[in-house]
Amino acid sequence: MPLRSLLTLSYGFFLTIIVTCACLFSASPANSTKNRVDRVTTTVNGRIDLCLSCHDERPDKAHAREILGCAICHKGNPLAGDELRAHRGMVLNPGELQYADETCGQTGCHPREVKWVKNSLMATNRGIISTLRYYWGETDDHNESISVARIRAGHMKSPALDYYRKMCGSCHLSMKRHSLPGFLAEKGGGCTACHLRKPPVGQNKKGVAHIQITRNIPMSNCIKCHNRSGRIGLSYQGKFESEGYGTPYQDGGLSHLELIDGRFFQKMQPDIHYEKGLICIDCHTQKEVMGNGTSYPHFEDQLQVKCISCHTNNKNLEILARQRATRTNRSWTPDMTAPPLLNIKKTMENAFVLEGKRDKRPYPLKPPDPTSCKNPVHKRLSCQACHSRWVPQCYGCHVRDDRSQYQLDKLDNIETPGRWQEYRSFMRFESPALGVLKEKNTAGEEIVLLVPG
Amino acid sequence: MDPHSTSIRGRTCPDCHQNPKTLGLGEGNLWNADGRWYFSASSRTVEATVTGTLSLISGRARDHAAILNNDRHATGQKSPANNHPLDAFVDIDGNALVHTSRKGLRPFDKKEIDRILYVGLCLNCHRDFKDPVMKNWQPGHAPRPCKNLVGCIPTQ
Repeated sequence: MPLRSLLTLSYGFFLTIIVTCACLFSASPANSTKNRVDRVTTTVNGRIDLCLSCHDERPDKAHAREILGCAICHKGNPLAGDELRAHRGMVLNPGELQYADETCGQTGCHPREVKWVKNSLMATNRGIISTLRYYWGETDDHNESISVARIRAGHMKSPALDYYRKMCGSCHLSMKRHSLPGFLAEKGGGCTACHLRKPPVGQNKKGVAHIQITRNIPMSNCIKCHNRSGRIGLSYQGKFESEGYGTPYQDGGLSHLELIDGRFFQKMQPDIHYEKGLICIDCHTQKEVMGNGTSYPHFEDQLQVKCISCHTNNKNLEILARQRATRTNRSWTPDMTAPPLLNIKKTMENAFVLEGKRDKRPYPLKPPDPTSCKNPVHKRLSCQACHSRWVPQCYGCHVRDDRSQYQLDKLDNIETPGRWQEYRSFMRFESPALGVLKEKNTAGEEIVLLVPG
Repeated sequence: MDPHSTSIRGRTCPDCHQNPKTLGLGEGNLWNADGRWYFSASSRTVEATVTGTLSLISGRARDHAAILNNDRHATGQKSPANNHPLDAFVDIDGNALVHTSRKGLRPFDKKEIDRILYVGLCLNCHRDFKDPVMKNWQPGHAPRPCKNLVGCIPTQ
């Protein structure tokens, strides 16, 4: 081959390489060269993800950067070599429900779970909205299906819905994380509202750490929202929301026992499960929390676990332990009446324990007391009727809408006319009242707690 | 609801069978005279508390307004008095005073209140399930009153 042809060919080859690299790595005119990547980075399966050449944040192991890269979750353009083009179309929090179909819920990841969650009570607030409207006399249908998305669209307006927007509207999964001020900023975030675990500080060179996604949901994530109305998140830890006087005074000032939102509390006997070390997800199953795709009107319809699920005889525990041991994806069923998938295991000594999901500790399971609990005179009693010795009870609850003031609408994040204020006549914790609940679909009745507030 | 305040030890027998608050009557004094139960509330009434603002007391607003107006037709209740205590769900005659948040949920009725309190009369001597009287108590077959209590307990 003549030398000239060889040079031409070499020249053409290098020109192609240069042009390709220029296309790949060139900065937009607006960018300086320092924002261009200096090497090609790939995931372990060879997929180009140039984000990795600049970003060194490390997510949790299940979402390892070496395996997934960045763009599969955060979108953007992983083939662009400059900051501006690479970040175009990017999402900061892929867990937000508005993106979840394309991020967490994409094929090969968690499509089933995202579908469930988007239809769940925590995402739609169906139960809160219908109950509120029913209480306020705005509907006769306690089971109506109105979601927060429909209210946000602005098609419905009423006093109850205005109250919902301002007093309840921050506690749903479709709330965008960090969109509201103050302590409310931590609420919402779609999948990350629950599955987020804060990383160690200063993880990367810039001191910015990637959040960690976990299946072992910390209790604090649940209690961010589950601390009003029934106040179960507080009671579980032995905190009784007291009157707003800040008593008993300490060092000449108000009580130091104050919640993040300004409410005062007093220390009480915590729930025995909390004292022993159990957290919310040790009892509450995935189906209860994320749903199973069915539009249940209220949370009690979405419940699967009862006290007697664990506190039962060995024959029943054997079934749960076997189910846990042989669990597969194919064995999953949407049936809420199926035995709950609890972490129950059989020990070498043939005893049954509940293994903590987070701490992996074995918690012995005891059956109900044969004398008091199994006595036929108490056959209608629910476990809670006796074993909940104290319950927050709010008597004389009422609200006031002051139209001369403004208040933050949590759905639209703007101040609108009308400020709702909640009042009560008094709070009590002792001797909760009992009443009778007719069981659904049966003629049976159960003695349960009547809890106002 | 499950309030998530579970304790290993359950409530004591008197806490249910001798306590008007547990029965849904509210705080106050409960006594029996001539075979009939009486109750005197210690907390304020709804009427004394409500000052014209929209008030919700364990029930729906419009029905609550009807209760305040003593409108028997609107509430469908026998005795929707507006002078019941704030912490009362039911009166001593078993008339429900408030609405509840769930279908099929109600306070105790008259028969149930009498039955629960009847056990309470026995508890002063027969303290718990260790006592044969309590241990052998069959549902719907309450033992006959002891002789020293005749005349001061309700008919079962």
